[in-house]
Amino acid sequence: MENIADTKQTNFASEQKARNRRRLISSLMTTLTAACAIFVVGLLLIILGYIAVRGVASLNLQFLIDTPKPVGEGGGIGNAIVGSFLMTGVASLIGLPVGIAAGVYLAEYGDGWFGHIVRFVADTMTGIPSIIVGIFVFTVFVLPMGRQSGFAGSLALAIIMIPIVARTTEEMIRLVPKSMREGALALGAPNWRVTWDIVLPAAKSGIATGAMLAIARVSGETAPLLFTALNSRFYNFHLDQPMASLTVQIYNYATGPFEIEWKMAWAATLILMLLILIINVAVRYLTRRRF
Amino acid sequence: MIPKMAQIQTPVIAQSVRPDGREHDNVYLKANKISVENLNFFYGKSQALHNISLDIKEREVMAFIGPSGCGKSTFLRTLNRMNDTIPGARVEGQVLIDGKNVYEAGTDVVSLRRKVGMVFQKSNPFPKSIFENVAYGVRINRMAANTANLNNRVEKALTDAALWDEVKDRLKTSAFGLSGGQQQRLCIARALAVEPEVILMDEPASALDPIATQKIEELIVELKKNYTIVIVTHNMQQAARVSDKTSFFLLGKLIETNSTNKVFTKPNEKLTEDYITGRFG
Repeated sequence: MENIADTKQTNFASEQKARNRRRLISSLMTTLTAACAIFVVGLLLIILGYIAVRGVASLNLQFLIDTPKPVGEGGGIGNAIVGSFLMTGVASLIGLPVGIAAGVYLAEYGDGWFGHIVRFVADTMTGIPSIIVGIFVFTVFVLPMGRQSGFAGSLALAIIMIPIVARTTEEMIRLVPKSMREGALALGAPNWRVTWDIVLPAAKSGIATGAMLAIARVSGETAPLLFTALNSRFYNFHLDQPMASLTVQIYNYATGPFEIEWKMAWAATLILMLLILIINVAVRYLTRRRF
Repeated sequence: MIPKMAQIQTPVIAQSVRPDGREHDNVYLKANKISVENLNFFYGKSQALHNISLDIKEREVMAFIGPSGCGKSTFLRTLNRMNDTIPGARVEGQVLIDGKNVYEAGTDVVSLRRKVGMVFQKSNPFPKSIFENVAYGVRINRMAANTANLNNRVEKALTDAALWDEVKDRLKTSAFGLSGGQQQRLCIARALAVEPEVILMDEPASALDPIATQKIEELIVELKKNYTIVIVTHNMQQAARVSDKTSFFLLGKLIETNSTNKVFTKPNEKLTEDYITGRFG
């Protein structure tokens, strides 16, 4: 009798030990992952906060409206904001439809050798440094045209967007459950209608997120615009002429010799960040899940 | 010739009640709606169905039973060519629906699927409103001439699926807001809205609670008046409750087809008896 009681006691003790060990590891790992998460978010907040603090100092309405002027006479980024919007907008008009269509193709019909090649090329293109895209557009578009232009800038940005949009669209479409497609097919819907009526709406918010990421990515690009859109000191709405952009303007201000220019660079950076944030929130709101 | 046939058929169905008031076993007198001949099915190199021949009469409920992986769902999906979407799938043999082979070259799969509707194991509403879910099939098949007609069709389908009263005040809300059982009846309504002649049901109640299951079963018995129904089920009691005839599948082979009553009381095959009595499965 005593022996059995002893064994039970020992078993209980070793069970308790194992449980404590398990709990310790569990809380250790939870703390570790939480710390990493806090580090990532914290880093982002520090960057955003620093830009906000430095930028707000030289921010005023005049700065948002004015064109760049000689040092000492003020000046602003009005034309750069317009240029960025125009070029990103045109790039999206080209890049999003092409990218989304390519993504649909890859997801729905891309299982053969051709799909594999397209996927490989898209992945490679995502990794190409953006300045190379700038040089490419400079060579095949700017040189024959004879001058830099806003459209050339848009083209460079669109080329950067397409592979990103195509791959995220493909991933999002693949997430749509097969059962949903079969439901539509069983009603006598032809393939293209299933894609258009059921699959795309179901993947809508995911595709919009991918598009957002692509837009955010290209609105922060400087290198591909240096060769293609160049810069401009004036308000310009003609896509066939050189065009200012926030990023190139930030680059110019930041590399200038005067402190007042550096301050304007900080302010312009803040504006660029806010614009991306606003577009992001707006698109998320417009494509939110309603059904 | 054709009108003559119709003349012969009508009285046969009318005679389904015997003079003494008991129901005639008229199942064998009805016309064949579906007739399968020597069907073999392959996923790539592995054969999933072996030489299956089977007749399903019009306006009867045929149940397929058998252990998991015996091929009953695969067979069901050969009837409206849903297996076409699976890469490497291959079919040999014939599936005649109203005497026409659906695997014949030149068959319009779209109109076949409109005629042979399907309800799936897991309810799969579209990410649309309740109304649009039912209206979808009507729209893509251009069946409604105007909005009033579309509304009527949607109401009729929802009524036939015993769902109208529960959803009539929330037609514009998301289909995902419905309960599991309601979603499944919505999918049935969606299938009914395109006015099919045959409805294939792939374990339509396996994910539902007993009350929702009972509703679906009552619905099947009700739908039998107008439709030919083929139902796959894991639940033998369900097969016994709703079907006129039952087929037992095992390892891709059709072991026995008989009237449901016979299958569950005095099956012809030893294997069927072993399965029914729970000796394996």
